[in-house]
Amino acid sequence: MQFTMYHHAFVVIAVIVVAFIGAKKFKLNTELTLLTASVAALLAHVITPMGVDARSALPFTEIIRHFVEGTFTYFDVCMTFLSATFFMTLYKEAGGIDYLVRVIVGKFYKKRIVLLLMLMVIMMIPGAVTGSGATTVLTVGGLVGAVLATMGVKEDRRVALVFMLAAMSAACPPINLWAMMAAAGANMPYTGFGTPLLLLTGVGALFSTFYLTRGCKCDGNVEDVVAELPEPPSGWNFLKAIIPFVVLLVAILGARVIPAYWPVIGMPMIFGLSALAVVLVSPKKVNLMEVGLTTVTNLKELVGIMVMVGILNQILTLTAARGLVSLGVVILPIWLLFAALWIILPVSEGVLQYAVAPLFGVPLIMLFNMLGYNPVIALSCWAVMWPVGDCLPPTAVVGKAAVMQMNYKGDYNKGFLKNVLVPALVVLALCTVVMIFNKPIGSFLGV
Amino acid sequence: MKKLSLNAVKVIALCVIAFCMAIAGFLFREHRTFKETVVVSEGCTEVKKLSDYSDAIKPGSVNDCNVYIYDSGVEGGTFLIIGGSHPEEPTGPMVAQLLAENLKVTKGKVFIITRANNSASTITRIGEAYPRFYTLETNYGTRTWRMGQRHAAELDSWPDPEVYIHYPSTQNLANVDIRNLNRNWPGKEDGLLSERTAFAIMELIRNEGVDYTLDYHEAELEYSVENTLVAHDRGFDVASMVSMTLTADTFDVPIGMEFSPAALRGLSHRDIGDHSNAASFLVEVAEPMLDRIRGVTDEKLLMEGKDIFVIKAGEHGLLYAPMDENGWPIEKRVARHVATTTRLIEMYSMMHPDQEILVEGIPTYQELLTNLGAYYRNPAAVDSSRVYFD
Amino acid sequence: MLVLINGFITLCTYGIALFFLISIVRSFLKTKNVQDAIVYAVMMVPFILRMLRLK
Repeated sequence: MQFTMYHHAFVVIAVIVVAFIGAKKFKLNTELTLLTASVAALLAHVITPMGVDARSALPFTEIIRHFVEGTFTYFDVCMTFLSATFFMTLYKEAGGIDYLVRVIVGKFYKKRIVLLLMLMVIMMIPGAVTGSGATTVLTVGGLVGAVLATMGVKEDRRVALVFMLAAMSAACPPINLWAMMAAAGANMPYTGFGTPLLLLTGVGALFSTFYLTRGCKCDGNVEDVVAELPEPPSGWNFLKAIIPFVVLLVAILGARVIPAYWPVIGMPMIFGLSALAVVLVSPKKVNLMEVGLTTVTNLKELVGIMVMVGILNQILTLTAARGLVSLGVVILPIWLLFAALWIILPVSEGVLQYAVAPLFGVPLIMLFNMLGYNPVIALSCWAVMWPVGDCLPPTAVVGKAAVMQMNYKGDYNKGFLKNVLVPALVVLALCTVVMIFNKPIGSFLGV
Repeated sequence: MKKLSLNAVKVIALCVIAFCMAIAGFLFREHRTFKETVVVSEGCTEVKKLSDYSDAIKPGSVNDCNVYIYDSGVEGGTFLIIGGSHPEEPTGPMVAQLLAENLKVTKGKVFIITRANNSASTITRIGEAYPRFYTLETNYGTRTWRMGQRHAAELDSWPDPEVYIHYPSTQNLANVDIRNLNRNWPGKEDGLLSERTAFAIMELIRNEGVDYTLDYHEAELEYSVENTLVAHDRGFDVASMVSMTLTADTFDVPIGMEFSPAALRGLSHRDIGDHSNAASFLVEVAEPMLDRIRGVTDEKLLMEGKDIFVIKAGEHGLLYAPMDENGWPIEKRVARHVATTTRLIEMYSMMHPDQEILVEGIPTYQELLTNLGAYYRNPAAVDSSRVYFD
Repeated sequence: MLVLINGFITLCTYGIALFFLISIVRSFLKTKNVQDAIVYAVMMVPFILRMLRLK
């Protein structure tokens, strides 16, 4: 039997799995586990023969270059995470969160359904305009979580709800990064996605909201509930509390309203401007350098994982492992894809984050196109399934962000994930059904 | 002891990353500043810079590329060749440079841009493990080109918006596409780098009265617009003739013909035509290294185009181009684009006699298949006034 | 004018990246956890290289 690139790639993948297991046994954290896996994969690539599929030489200096280059894969995403968290940490330190929570609870505590719908919309907006579930969690997750706490929603369910709403917000139009990246890779215009994405994420958000808050009655006395809440520093008023978010929205929406005349601000600077607004309106002085330190310390795991996953992605691509996995998915029979994508896509998101969108999305779009299916509906479904996997290991970026933001002390798997399970399965089931009936649904929606 | 151990780890970690950054930094810098040689043929009458056509590009800036002009002095048509829109597609700059080094124009005028999005050629695509350079053996030695990425370098255009709203159509595109020259047409005078580059090239087209343009590209075999000539409405008839005749008499793998879709904005075949009087064309050829399902990513794959994973996908009917153990070698890809260029000039001249262009010196398809390296000139063997750098 | 504003925004974005680089370095120096120290060291890499305009 000849040794081919198939065998080579299999060996690399096997070594990655062994490295993962070994790293966990040695109690390495997730970030270092990913780094170890990358190093091991590269060693396997260098040592294992290519057999009949000879390849170019790989000098040591180029190996170093690939490792370093891989750290940039999610650099812009990390900048967005850091600046969003910095903004919200600053806002929290200044007392703005405490003030807003008191206002929202004071006005709407007795109107449970209105309050829940309002919280749902608050959670959907940041992700809908940025495409990032982590941004949602890092900007409004804490605020919404605090209000949910006053409503008597248990801690496990609060974190689960914040995560699910963040995932749905990331998938919610107008910006869905998975759909955009996959469509861009397939040279498909990003048009017609609005309605299917809105329907899928809307249903997912509504179900998650009412399922995870079931049994909460909000029947306490409003004054007593408000009195339990932390006091904000004096000097806050509604206008001051809202201004940083107005700045945020104006900075984002300005480009939609007057795109030809609006500068390209970018998410880091948008959050930078919002942070500046906090500094200007805050009645309390906050030490920016200390907030920066707190931000980085809190986000060490998230940003660290993104950096290491970037390296792993680069090494997987270099060594043919990524190609083998991608090939393996697209040559599956269509009935098996229908039956298994609800697992494959979230799990792949848990491994490779946004990189899965072009990796699996592009070949799947081509495949569905070739089979005469409606690629817009199909891609919309996948683009809602992917973010559900943002709570899955090894990266679990949005899940960990939710846990961190809510100061969750419970068990990640037995507490948080267990509560995410039902709404996640409902969303995945809905997406699978819509994917299977993509043609009639596409005709009905006029897409 | 524990404190010493922690400090020791910190020092070692810093040393390791400093070592890695020094090596990688040197390699990044070497790649970014590498100069490609272009030995223009005797038919080249002038070499301008893109900044000569528009203030949107600052003189000497990264995208102030060379514009090679071949003016016969005899009235006829005007043709613009655009290479290097997507520097991760090597045939673009390779074909444009080959033409620049061999072309003689006896009627009409030809403009050649070899590195339209030069910024994108100074950096490799993050996460894709590209090689930094690719090489070809020529009669005089090794010719080297920078391998690039699809989008302008982040060092030259940062940050990206959260969504790219194409000007002037206001179509929503992926945010990184604000740095993708082939999504920026017709450009924006006060936009970001790639938008301004597209605008400057449009100014060239408008001011020089360009009659038709050809933009070189490569595509993954999983992509449906493959081995094809995409034409703006003004060029349908010419594109049909080019496609039919090349398929009949030259190519083993047919070249298709596609109408430029009006729904997809920012592409050269649509928006150059819509915003000027030129007929815009875009030609695609297969490049297996762009396929996501590819195997090991290296120069060998880039230049030989052989990959068993892609062959497997072909066996499952997932590809839009044939793929076998012979792959898609660079000789074949370059030859196809050169042959398409020559046939386009012929057919356009035939169907628009008042815009006739006559050219000489371009090697044939067969000549390029067998001896591609022979058509890149030795810079040491010519007068230095004919040597330029991209 | 828009080109100037975009240029200013680019400078500010570099400033934001520098701010976070400083914070990462401070976290690296402060941490008492060996594994975290290695993670912070690797996290610095893209920030430093972007500041040096190498990648």
